[in-house]
Amino acid sequence: MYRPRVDPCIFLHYDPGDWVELLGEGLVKELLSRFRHVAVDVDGLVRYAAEYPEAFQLGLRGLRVAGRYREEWMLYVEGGYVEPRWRARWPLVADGGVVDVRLQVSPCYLLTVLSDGGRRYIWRSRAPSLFKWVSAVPRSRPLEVFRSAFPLWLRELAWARGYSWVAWSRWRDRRNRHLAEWLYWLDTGRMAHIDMALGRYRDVYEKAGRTNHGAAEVLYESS
Amino acid sequence: MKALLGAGWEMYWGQPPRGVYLLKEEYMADPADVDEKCGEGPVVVYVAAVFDTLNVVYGRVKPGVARCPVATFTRRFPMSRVRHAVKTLVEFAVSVDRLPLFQLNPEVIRFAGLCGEYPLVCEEPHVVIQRLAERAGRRPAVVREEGRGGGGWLINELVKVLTDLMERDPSYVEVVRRVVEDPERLRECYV
Repeated sequence: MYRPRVDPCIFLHYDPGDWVELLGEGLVKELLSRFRHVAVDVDGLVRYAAEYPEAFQLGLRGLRVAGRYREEWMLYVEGGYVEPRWRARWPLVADGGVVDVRLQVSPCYLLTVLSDGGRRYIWRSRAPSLFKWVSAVPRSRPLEVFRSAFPLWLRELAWARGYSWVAWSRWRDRRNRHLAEWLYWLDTGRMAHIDMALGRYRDVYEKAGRTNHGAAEVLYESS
Repeated sequence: MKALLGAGWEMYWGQPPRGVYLLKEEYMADPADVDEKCGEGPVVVYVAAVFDTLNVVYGRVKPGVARCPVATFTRRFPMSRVRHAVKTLVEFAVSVDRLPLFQLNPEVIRFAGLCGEYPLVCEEPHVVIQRLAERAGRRPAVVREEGRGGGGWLINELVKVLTDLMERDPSYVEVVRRVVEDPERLRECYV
């Protein structure tokens, strides 16, 4: 039984050091033994997960996980499903901007195994803008594919105004929180909510630290 | 069967263990269709490679056949030999059952680390087409004209797919005939 201190989105967070720190050495050792035929060390494991996120899930079957993120892990390990909801908590930017891009699915949802029509439909219904740039959800090297597919103006918007501005901007009556997670992931290859939990996303951490809850862990909670 | 699979495989009568299937779901027959034909005595065969945490199963019918006799061949492998085990199943499907590679579930091939050996299965279709176009562009014009006989693996795969489609649905014969008569018409569909 393993107790990772992170949800399954870590498999889209391409930082070997964070894998060891957040998954724990025991779980990393178990993963290495399961993927010995394709990876010799943690770096290789991270590379393999980046290359084939869906195939990676096959090797996790039967993994027993406990702790705070148990339910999310069970859903992923046994059902191949990761929820499409947003996770990162961005500091408030009350600017009222509008970004007319409908992308209401977190990049974490790339881990979901698209075994039935319902799961594919979530992509089409909640993130139709994505299909202006790609013809299908890529099943290998998603980061590379989306880096070249996303329009430059959208990425420049995040560079110029910041991810938080994007997160609090609107698409119709909704905020673009998912979109901000995408843009952060495309730029860094890391998940925004995991970086926030580790206190690495400095400006977000400092501003949010002034809320009632001071501890960094509070920033990273499943909603 | 055992001779085709090699040493170490055991047979039992019954359904295969739960696991991941080697073929894409859309290419596996429905149990209800198979049940209808069982009076004449066909046997449904599964081949299952069993690991500690995962089973990889090859069979041409979805599990759940009620009336036909079902035979399952299994062999236990250590996880370190997953590449060898999956390759055995793929070779069996391709050489014995003569299935086209397109019917294989790419995730199983990717998991087993066999993408180097079966790039056609792993790559996204547009990448395969792009590479073929590059290769065709590099080839000298004379070879391109003569090269029909030496089309290699891709032509073989296409022939397999078309044969399979025509066996399932005779109306494809007409489709293929029209394409052969006027290939330009096919191009119009994509432009």
